[in-house]
Amino acid sequence: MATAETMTLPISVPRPDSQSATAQLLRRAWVLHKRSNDRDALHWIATHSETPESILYSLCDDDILRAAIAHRKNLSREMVEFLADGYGVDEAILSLGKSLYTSPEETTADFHEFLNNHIRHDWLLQSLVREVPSTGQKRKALIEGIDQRADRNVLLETMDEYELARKIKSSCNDDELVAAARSNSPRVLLALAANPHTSKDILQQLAEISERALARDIRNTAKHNLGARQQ
Amino acid sequence: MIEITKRTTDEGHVYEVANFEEYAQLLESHGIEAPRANYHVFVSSENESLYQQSQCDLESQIKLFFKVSPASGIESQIVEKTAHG
Repeated sequence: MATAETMTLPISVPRPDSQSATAQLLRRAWVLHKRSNDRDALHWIATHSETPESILYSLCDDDILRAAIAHRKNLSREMVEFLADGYGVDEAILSLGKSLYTSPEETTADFHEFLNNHIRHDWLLQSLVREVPSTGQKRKALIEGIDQRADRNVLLETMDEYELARKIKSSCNDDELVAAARSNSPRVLLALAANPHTSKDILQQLAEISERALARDIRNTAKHNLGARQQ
Repeated sequence: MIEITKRTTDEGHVYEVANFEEYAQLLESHGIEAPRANYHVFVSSENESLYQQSQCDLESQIKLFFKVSPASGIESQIVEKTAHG
């Protein structure tokens, strides 16, 4: 936290070049703070959205700064791989895993290799089973990986639940929607509450739901859906 | 509203946050990390004209450096101060 004793630091805007003035200012600030080894000031630079990645690489030796960098949203693929493979940073591993699983531009072979390297991370698998794979082959690869684990049933149930919820959210099939209304899954009920094809009767039931996970979200979504019908 | 003061010097302009504590608190209330140093950004007259020639909006870049660009959700303005205040 900055305080009244915060130091004043003169810094000059250099001549225009290929980098933005903001990036150049950050580079100058980085040089000054690195020289004085001011970790707090370097942390600010690590979290600045305009800091060039060439600087971020140089900050990765420090655990705290590395974690701050991993939380940034606009990192290049190379940087994410550097953090995931070089340092085993959880956020980077997760980001890379989601990209490999969901992006059509990523191959199944690459996802498979990634999964073999990181299958031990519970949090990674718990997250991936909620995502939409870009191909059926990646889904199959994930299931094969999960099959070897003691918690396979829980993970597969979560995967089924999320897949059903996605299907129900846009289904026009009355039988499917009526069956979904009997589901015990709050996520499926929430999807049902949001579907514009869900019958008024079901929506009215959902608008009264209580004492279960996501109950408030389900009620509000159903009420909103009902309200939209009356307009 | 964060005020960034633009002060004229013999060799150019200096941009600095008018009230650093207020600025730091506002950033943090928006979940944005505040700087640990109170940066005074100097732009020489020569570089200023080079940026003008390259049609670069230097003051927007300075706001971005201070993390108060429109994308941050924090309103800011640059107020020019003359030698007489």
